Amino acid sequence: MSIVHHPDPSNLMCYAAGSLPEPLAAVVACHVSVCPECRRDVAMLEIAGADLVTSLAGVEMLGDASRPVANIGGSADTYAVKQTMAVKKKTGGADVPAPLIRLVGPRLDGITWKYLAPGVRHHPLPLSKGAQGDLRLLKIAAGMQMPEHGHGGAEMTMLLAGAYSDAFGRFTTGDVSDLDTDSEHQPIADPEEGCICLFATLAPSRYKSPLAKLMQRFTGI
Amino acid sequence: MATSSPSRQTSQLDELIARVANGRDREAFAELFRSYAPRLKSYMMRQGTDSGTAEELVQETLLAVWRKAALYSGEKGSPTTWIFTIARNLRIDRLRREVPWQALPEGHDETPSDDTAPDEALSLDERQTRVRSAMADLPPEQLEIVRLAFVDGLSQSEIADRLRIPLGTVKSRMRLAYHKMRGTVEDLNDR
Repeated sequence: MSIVHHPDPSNLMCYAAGSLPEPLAAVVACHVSVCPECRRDVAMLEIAGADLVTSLAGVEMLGDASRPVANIGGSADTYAVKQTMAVKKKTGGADVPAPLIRLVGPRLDGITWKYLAPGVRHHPLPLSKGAQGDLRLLKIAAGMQMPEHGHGGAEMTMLLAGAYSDAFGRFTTGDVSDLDTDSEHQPIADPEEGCICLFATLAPSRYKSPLAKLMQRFTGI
Repeated sequence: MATSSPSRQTSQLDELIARVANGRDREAFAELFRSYAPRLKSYMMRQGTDSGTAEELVQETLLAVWRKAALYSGEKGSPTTWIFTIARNLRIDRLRREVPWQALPEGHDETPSDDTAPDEALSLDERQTRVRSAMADLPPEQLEIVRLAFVDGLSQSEIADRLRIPLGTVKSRMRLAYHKMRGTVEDLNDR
């Protein structure tokens, strides 16, 4: 995998801080899971964050929780180790990014798709209650061209298979398109293979449901 | 709490974590607890929790340190950075999300091995020193924004609202701060 397009540094920073809105954090998590360069950047930013937190003035612990050893059980530790190693082993041969495996399984060809618009199928992904924005997988047919569109808010797309091109370049597996509110683009799916991508938006849904807004993108209405 | 140099403090904390991991040493754990709990409580409260919830989250964080100590490797990051990521993830789980998208730093939550190359371990120490000095050199308006993200847990648009500045300004100050840090560690990245 040769990754050319990465998330904006400001979004990597908020990801490391834990303050990136959930749908965008999901895309960054998936990208980071396949991009050593961004993993290193996040680790660097975590050093900065840990320093800031460590330099806070402490607040005294008051309640029962202030007793450090009261709650330690005897056997939970080895269980945790075994469990994470088992997960690691099971995910070998996966082409779904690790953070998504829990939701859709390890294989892209095992995902169930629903019709969204001509040439476009989708698989919505759950977000926490009250989370802002929208997250879904999209499967776009070869050569499919989306109408040119701007964004009501941030939009982040990660390519999971195939490719697409727009004014910002060609995006292949692992690449992330990170567009802010002011950008416009008109992606065209690869004429041979089409593409599968993880698609996150923060567009405010005051007037339309996220799904209606998304369909509008593809149908140009 | 130790007032010695950061690296000395780090190795002391490393040793405490090793004693917890290898010997299930409750005295070492109590020392770690005393060192971190008040500042973690402060962090949780800055992130918007009440005092009681903050204390629960501090307990959960340090309990996770107890359980995962065997996975910690000082060659992959400082104990403080590791504990920060645990606290951050627990805070996200509790306050905002049911789907945990944040991962622990590479290696820590997966393999207990210490397969880091020796020179990489060296550069990690150096990396921390350089990130620290880059942070110390940030202009106040950039540091303020970095702090609001990490300490107060604000999103970019929340920071823009709080400071009454455009979202684009928040993003560009974050980029400047990032490039400053990145610039200081660039030559370590290719080792």
